[in-house]
Amino acid sequence: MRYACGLVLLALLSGSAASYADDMKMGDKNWTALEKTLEDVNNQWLCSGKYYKPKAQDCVDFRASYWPDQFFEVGQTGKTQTREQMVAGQTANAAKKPDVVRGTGPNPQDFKLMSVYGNIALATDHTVFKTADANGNVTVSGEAEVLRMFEKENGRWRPAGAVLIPSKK
Amino acid sequence: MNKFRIVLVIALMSMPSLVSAQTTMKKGDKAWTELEATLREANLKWLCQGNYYKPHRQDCVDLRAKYWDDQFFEMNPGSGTQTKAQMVAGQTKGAATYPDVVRGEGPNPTEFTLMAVWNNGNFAMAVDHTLFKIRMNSAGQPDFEHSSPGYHTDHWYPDESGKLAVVREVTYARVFVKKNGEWRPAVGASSPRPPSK
Repeated sequence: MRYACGLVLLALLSGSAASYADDMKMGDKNWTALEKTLEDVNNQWLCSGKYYKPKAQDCVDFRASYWPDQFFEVGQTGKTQTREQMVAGQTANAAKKPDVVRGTGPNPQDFKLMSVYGNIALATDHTVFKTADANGNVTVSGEAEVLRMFEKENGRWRPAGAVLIPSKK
Repeated sequence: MNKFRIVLVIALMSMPSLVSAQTTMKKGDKAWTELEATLREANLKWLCQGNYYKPHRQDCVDLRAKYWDDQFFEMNPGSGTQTKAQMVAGQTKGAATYPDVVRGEGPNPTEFTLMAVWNNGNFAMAVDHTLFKIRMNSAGQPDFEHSSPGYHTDHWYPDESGKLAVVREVTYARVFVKKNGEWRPAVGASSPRPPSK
């Protein structure tokens, strides 16, 4: 029994010592695998690529269920919005423009995992915003460097926040 | 057997990979307000403002090189994403060109707000409204000669002291990690905001 208790305590100590080290280094196999997982989470968050939704409200509803309560975003004009404010604003926009042309909206590129702290991961991407004109032609309307923050809960990674910095590539 | 079960439960609760990133702290409660105050102070230390003012720019760079977490990075308009090493190198170069700092010059954080707390209270995300200030010259104009080109602007206004010019304003996301009982900056990311005046 003492031996079993000793083993458990050893596991406890090594767990807390590992804490943020995570046995993961930029560029190693685990890092690359997590980067890929989060890139997919990012596409889901943005209803981009294979997660495209033709109805704008469907994407808003998905985000409302995907974002945790503490989610927040700093927009390109420095305005900070909580999850609740984001959902309200996007719902109002979806009522005005209910249909989404494939490829419009935020298109993330160059996704890069920058740091990992246990159940928190921080990444960057270059997001190209696209809109469709009256003829359905898709054009670039803006670009931003984006800090993407993620948190892991019950084994699932979810968006925790974002900061958009206007930029041109 | 009971003793073993107790130890096992404690061990499982303590393993970071098995617990959620959520925390029991709620916005506005006592623990939240206290943490916000602690991080506001950490933010001032990071920026060498208030009690942490350093008249020699390189002293501030040296403090940051120790204070920033190893994984620290920063994202700012015009300079993209920079790692800790790149930030330290760039600021060291800047300190060689502009070695002296007038009290209050540089980034001045206001309206610090704690937005989210994760990892059982060991990871925190906040935002502030940062005003970038530079000294005025004898003609009452911003002294662009003694400030980094990044601060040069056509639009400026004097701060409340009348001795410094506000040349840029941003919303800054300030992200902190707690390690060995100390809160340290993990990420900074800023987005420009319209001038207040």
